[in-house]
Amino acid sequence: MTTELIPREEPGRELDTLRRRLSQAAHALSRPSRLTLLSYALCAPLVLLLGACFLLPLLYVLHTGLHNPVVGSAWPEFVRALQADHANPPGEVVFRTLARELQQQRTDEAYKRTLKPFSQQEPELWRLLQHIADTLPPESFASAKAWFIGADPAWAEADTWKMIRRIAAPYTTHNVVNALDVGLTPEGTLRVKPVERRSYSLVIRDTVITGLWVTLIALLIGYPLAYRIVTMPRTPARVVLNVMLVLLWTAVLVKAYAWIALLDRNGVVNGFLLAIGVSEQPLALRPSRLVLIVTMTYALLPFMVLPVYQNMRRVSIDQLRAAVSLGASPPRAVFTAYVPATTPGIAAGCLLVFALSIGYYTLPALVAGPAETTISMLMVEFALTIANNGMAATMASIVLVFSAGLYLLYARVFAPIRGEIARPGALRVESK
Amino acid sequence: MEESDAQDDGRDCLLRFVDVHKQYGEDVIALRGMNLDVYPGEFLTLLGPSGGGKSTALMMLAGFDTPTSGDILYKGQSLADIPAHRRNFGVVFQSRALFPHLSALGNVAYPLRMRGVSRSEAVKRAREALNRVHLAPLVSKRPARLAAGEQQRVALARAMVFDPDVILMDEPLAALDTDLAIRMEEEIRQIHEDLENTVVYATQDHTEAIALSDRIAIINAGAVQQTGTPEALYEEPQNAYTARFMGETNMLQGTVTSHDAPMCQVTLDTGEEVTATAINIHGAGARTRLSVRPERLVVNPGDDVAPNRFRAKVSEMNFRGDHTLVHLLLPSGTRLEAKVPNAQAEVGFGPDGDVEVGWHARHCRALDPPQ
Repeated sequence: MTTELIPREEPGRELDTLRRRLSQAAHALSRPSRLTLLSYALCAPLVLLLGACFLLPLLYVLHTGLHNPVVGSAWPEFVRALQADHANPPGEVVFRTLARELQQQRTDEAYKRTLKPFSQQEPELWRLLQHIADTLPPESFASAKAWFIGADPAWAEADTWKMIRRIAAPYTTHNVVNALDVGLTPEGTLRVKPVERRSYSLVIRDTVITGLWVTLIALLIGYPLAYRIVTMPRTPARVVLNVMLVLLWTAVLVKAYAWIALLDRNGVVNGFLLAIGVSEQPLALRPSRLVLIVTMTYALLPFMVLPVYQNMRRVSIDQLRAAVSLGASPPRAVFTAYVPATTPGIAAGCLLVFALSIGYYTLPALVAGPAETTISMLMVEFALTIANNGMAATMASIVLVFSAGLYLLYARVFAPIRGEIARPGALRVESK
Repeated sequence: MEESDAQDDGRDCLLRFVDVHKQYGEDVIALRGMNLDVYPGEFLTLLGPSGGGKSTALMMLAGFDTPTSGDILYKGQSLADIPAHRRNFGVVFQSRALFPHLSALGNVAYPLRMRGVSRSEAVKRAREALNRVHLAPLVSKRPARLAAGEQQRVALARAMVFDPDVILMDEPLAALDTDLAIRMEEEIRQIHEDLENTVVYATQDHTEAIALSDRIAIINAGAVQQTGTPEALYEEPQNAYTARFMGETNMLQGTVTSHDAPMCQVTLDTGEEVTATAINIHGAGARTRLSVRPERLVVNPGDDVAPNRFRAKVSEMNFRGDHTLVHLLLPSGTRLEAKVPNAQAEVGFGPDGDVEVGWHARHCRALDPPQ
């Protein structure tokens, strides 16, 4: 490489020049040049923005889902004492601090809030604590431990204390367990809740199934559409793509009310059905799962079409022709030559649509909600109505884990193929 | 222009274009009355500029396009009703059009699989085909991992593995480096000689066409300008287009003063009197273009060269390896180029030297008038 840079001179001087240039190059490589530092500096705002607006909130959400501040902030000394004493049941000090903090708080409203996690997670324990709180004498006693056990022998059991430790721990998997509708035994092992007691996991399941339907329908509509756009002359193709972009830019509320106008009891669709006599009365089209799927497919279709279109643009029409010239009937050529060459685009489109669909909110909430609940609607419910940030964050984390998992799968399986497919297309020659 | 093609009844030709027109939309005419015969076992090259119609003709043969009017016959029967996938023609595309998701072997086995050949048999035959194009060690590689020349070899193997009746090649070497293209030329020629299959080959490069073909058809403006062996087209062009497209030539414009077949007298626009072979002229007074190949010009000729002899000045000399290109300026202002072989002992003149230049009347062809 280096020798090519050197102008032709006498052999001796050529060698000298080579040596000089090599040492210069080595020097330049050994320390970051001012230019390199400058280019890092130019990237700094981006890095800061990503950190502040993306990574930190994500970490905060993950943290909120697992954080368990209630007991710790209400009974700080008890929790500290509990952490210092690992025996089950623990020693006198732990009993004494619990008694003291209960005494201080008993008259307080905050005490009910403190006991809430117990009532939600372990009703037995909650009853136990309430009983203690109600009968606790105001004066101090010689041995708190003896008094507690005297009040209820359950305080001497190791299981009771395991449960208390779990609920009082600064971090808990309770929200996750709750969201997925699995129970925790006192030993800390998982047990699946019986079907009739499941709730959130059913919503998650339904959301995922809806997402799969949306992805499938978007693929079935989007793939031929992308093919049509690729094979169109340039000007109409640009028009169709722009229309699709406008669809993406349109305010969600506008789209939502357009759909409501279409699907309402007195809406366009019902009016049409009544007019042609298909039905006698207006149909209750919404809310329903079908409408949920239809509106989401409508809103997410561009995310299927655009990646597939990008992929198809790199696949020469010659490949279809080649397959046909090699003896494949046109339909067979499409499935053996064209579709496999566009799998990276299909995967990217499906990934995008599915990942977006499981977290999609506004449009389904307005058009299909609240009867058809999705994860995102639950999230909003937890965050804004019930004010249970832990559960809201957990739901958000579940969506995040789904999306991240799918992305990793995609990156593993399809990204390498995508690179290979991109290259022959670069040699594509415009057909005359 | 197509006398030789139009005379027989087409029974012994494999493929025949009969007055094929192709029009796209209102005003784009790709082919205007193309007539062409392809004989069994021959290597026929369609040579012409891009947009001349050769690709369109090839795509029609392959079945990706249909004539607006006229017909294409295969063994005397119209191809109109035979869809592309039933034609059993192998096609090599300039873009190679390899399937990116299949290995080299998978690509070559594809046409066999489409014909219902069992997997093991298909793999066996695909391996043989890849051997033939010297790709045996690379059979399991995906196209993206292959170099451009290797990709083109896979495309070649894929187009011939199923014993096609005709192999169509659309500028297969256009995207390759010169060295590689020349090597591929030899291989394509070798394969054609081994397999004795019929090949219709499209290219814009006359040296490629000359090196490969049994016969060349010059295609321009949607029609066949002239067909013939490479030698005939080079040495005996029937029109100025062919003369120029087949290689470098001196093209001189003038008016016929007398026509005495097979010779004629022409007065150049710059005043010189030239004797030429009458090829494509219409009597005295007609306008014509004279074509003399630069290697037919003799600088300081001996007495045998007559009657076209002129005094000239050497304006420039370009060394070109095997020959020197000598630029000559006649007193009238006419410019000529002569190729002088460097193997000759002594050229005997230098730049700015005064010389005499001459050529035989048989090497100077009076062709169609300038447009």
